[in-house]
Amino acid sequence: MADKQNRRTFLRVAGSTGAVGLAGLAGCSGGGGNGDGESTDSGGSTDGGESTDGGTTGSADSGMDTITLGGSMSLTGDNADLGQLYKDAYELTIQRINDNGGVEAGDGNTYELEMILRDDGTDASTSKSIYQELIDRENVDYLLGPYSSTVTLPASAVAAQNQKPMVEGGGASPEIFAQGNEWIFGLLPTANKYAKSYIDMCLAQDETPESIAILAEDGTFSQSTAEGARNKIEQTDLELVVDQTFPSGTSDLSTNLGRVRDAGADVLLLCAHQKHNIILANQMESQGVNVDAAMGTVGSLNESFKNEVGANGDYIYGPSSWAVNADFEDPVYGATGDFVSAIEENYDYTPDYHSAAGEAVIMTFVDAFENVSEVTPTAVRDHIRQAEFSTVYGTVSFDDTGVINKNMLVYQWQPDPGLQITYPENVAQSDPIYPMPDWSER
Amino acid sequence: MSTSESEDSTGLLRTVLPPNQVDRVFDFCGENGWKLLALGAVVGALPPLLGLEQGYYMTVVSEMYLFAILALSWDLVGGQTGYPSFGNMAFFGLGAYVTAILVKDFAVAFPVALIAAGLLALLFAALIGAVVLRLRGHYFAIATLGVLLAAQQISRNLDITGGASGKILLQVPSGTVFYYLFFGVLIAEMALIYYLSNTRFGFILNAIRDDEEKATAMGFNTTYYKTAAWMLAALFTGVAGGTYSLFNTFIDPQTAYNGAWNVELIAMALLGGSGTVAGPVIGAFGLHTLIEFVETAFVGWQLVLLGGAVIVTVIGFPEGVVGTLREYASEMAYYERGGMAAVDSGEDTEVTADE
Amino acid sequence: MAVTQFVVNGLLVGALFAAVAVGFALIWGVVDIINLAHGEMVMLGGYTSYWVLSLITGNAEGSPALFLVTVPAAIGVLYVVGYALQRTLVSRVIGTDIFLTLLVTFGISIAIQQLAIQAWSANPRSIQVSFADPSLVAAGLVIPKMKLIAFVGAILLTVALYVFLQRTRTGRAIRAVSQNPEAAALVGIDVEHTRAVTFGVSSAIAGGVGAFIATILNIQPQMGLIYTLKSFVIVVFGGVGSIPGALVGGLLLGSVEELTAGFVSSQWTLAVSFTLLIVLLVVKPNGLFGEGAEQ
Repeated sequence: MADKQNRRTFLRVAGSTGAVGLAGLAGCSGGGGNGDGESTDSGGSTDGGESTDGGTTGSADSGMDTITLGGSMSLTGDNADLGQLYKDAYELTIQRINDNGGVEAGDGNTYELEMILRDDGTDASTSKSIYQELIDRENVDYLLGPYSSTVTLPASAVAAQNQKPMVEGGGASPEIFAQGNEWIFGLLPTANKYAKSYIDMCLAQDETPESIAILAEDGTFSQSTAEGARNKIEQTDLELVVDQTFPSGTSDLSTNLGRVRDAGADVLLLCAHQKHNIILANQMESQGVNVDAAMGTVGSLNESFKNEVGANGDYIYGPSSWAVNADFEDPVYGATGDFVSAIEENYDYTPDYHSAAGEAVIMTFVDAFENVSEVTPTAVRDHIRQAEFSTVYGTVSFDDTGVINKNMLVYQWQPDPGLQITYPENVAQSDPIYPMPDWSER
Repeated sequence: MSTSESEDSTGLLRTVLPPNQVDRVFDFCGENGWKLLALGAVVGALPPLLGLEQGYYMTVVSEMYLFAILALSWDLVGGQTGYPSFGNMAFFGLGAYVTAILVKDFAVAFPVALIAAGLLALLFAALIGAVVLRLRGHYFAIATLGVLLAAQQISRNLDITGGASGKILLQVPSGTVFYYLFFGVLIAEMALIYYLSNTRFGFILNAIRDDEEKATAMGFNTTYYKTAAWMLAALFTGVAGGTYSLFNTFIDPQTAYNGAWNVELIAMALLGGSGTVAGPVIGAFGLHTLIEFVETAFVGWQLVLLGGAVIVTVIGFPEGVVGTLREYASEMAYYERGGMAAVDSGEDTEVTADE
Repeated sequence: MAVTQFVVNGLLVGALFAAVAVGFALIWGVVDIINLAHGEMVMLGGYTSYWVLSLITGNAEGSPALFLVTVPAAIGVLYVVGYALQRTLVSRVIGTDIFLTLLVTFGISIAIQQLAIQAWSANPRSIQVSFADPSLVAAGLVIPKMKLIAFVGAILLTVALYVFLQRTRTGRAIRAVSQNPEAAALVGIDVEHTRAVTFGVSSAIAGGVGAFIATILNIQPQMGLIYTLKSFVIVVFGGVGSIPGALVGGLLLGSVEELTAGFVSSQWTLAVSFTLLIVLLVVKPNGLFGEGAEQ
């Protein structure tokens, strides 16, 4: 009976859709389908070749020319939570720029900005074709980088191949910048720097720590962070007592935290993303892990992290390339504080360094557009290389490999004032609460 | 309930596309398979010569060929032999890593590395096949899934594979090279499978699918035949993986042993029509085009739409495009033989057509 | 750390995986469907509990008792979801090729994932359950109280399902349908309804477990996959359709993984369990406690 129903439905569907085109070739069980299916595509492909001169400067309805920025972001998949931060920052910044009358470019024209953002699903196999599509079909000349190192790698190769500048605020693996690629610019300090300031901070305390434990997720970025930390530790007197890698899919850290507790490590470093930071905060309590300091590398400073873990998140450290209370000048928002309140107003959360880096990605292009005499990918790339300008994110300038000159600040969740910069001393808001109190004393 | 409506629409379909025409197309294709394949080979080889340049369209078409290879390889074991594998991407990942490591760390020439990738995948299939091909149905499906996941985890933990960071390969040939590589492999595979499906080999594979005990009782060494099919599928999948690693300029465990792709390629084979040569290829072209379209047109909802499309197609066309059309065509043959009149409700005829 | 601590850690988490797998095994055994969207049921259950608690307390924090109140809510909501999915979509492919059923549930799985991201964002969330003293420490063993509650909860859900199947009329109908749908229909059992109830019950248990997972680990729209995969492994350990088998299989898997993490390294846990899966399939295809499922 059910079988009959199926057949009836299929006939109805087949009838109403009238998929006649497919029908002819589909019948060829002998293998003729190949030729037909293929030719439809090659028909459309002729315009693939003429993309270069079309450029991204077209006329909008308002009579203003437009420049299109294009990119992909992790809007689904493992890193969808962080991807959203970039998307919001991009959108808001572009909207502000257009509301203020657009970009007055160095070639004398005023341009409106437009953005095309695709979703790569946090999947490194999708980014190549997404960026090629943006370049060939949407005629995008200026590329916004994706989030996460694995997705960025194939995308950066496409940028170099097509000679389009790509500015990214989300791929921090040093590998990306070690390929001699002259078309990619990164706004995050590379991953190997993430733990450096934290270790320096711990060593600067009165009760100097003697041992450290590293727990690292098995992803490109987290592994680079751990590797950077190991190199740093070698230059100090710290003893590495636990060094464990765990699969991203594994959610329970009890056994590894038990190791940390039993090894009596003074300092704990978790190289992982937000979901593991939540587990760290909760299980440190339940496993009775009393270290002097604990830091999670990514997603431990977001407000959403603190909301989820409550008081268990107190005293946890996190690195940031940006201070939310800093006061940098910015041509669009005015200053850092205005950016923070704009994001809070529009999206209902406090921005973190991902958001600010997202803003700076857009501003890097805007700065270049304003300062080149001719808006072309090469001129823009050449300008970005030697540019130095101020955004809400801070002063932006790139070194020879294309990475921003920046070090990480260290933040700590303190019970009373909340999130505080604790290192380096010249910008610190409070002294770190070090060692953090034992769980029994909270 | 909506009998009249369905009558109307099928009536319309009959006018636009009479079943006997479809039947004739089937016959034509059956008689001229080799010619059609040759025609396809010529037509497919043309675009780069006619000015298709490296870029998005070439990448998409190359990826369509890639998925067609994968779907066709899956179908050789899943559709022709009836062993539903969830682990084909293990061969893909193995091929991808072998090529990447040989090219990058041992400076082996790309073609040589590619051959090595294919052969190692073949060897791996022989070893794994000896174990998993003893299982059937759901158990075989799970065991192969286990192979895929274990392979992924192992490559994540080894040094030679670059661990979780994977392999970066930026010194690669141009897109045209990959276009022809994928295309060449696809045509070769189609020709081979088309040839085999008309031989004793193909017949025995289908016999295994229909009833393995009977096939064994008939005196066929089924283990030999199904292992051979499995190794053949691994060979093509491994070569495709090897090509992909350089094509994508980067592989990591997640990309190389992509479980989602494994589901996608099964969907392609089934939606096109499994157990045929054209079906998986049509399914791969169709579904990949749909995925590309949905990804660019409906950002933020693409998985919802894709999921919906898969559900609707599976429920609506359980036999796939080719199977559905075949059924439609044979339905007409039934009318011509003077069976039930066309005014009769479609219900009975459909059932009859099925038997 | 001692072996016992690893085993305890493994059992505590393993019971949760077991309870997820029990539902997976049930659908497989009764409806003959491998439900790739099973992990999404866990996710939805976690969110249901999270939102109910937020509604009560305003911030997804609460006392253990208050949290336990939200578990039946998750169970109830997921029962409805499961029942509706079977009735509207999955029932249409029952009895067809195994891959068609897989594709339908795969479609459901990815669609639910993205809808959840659209509805609740991808931020990981967790329920905070407040205790004066979060862990029991005895003889050097650390046992977090919340994990103990989750452990007991998961075992109770599993046992409840077993009793339901053995003792109630509906339970007997489910078993009848699983053994022979045609014969069941002949004696007046509404097969379609019974299958939908099975799907509902299985999703309900997954949902209840999801609530516990939200307290001891965390929840995220894309979390489902790993639970589905582990269910596969556990069902193979225990044998298809066997509830006691799935329970023991889950506890075993948890212990094996934590022992691997403890003695070797946590990076090998998944590789070990998947390899074990293949080995077990070949050596003992009916599972350690299989009820003679056909190979």
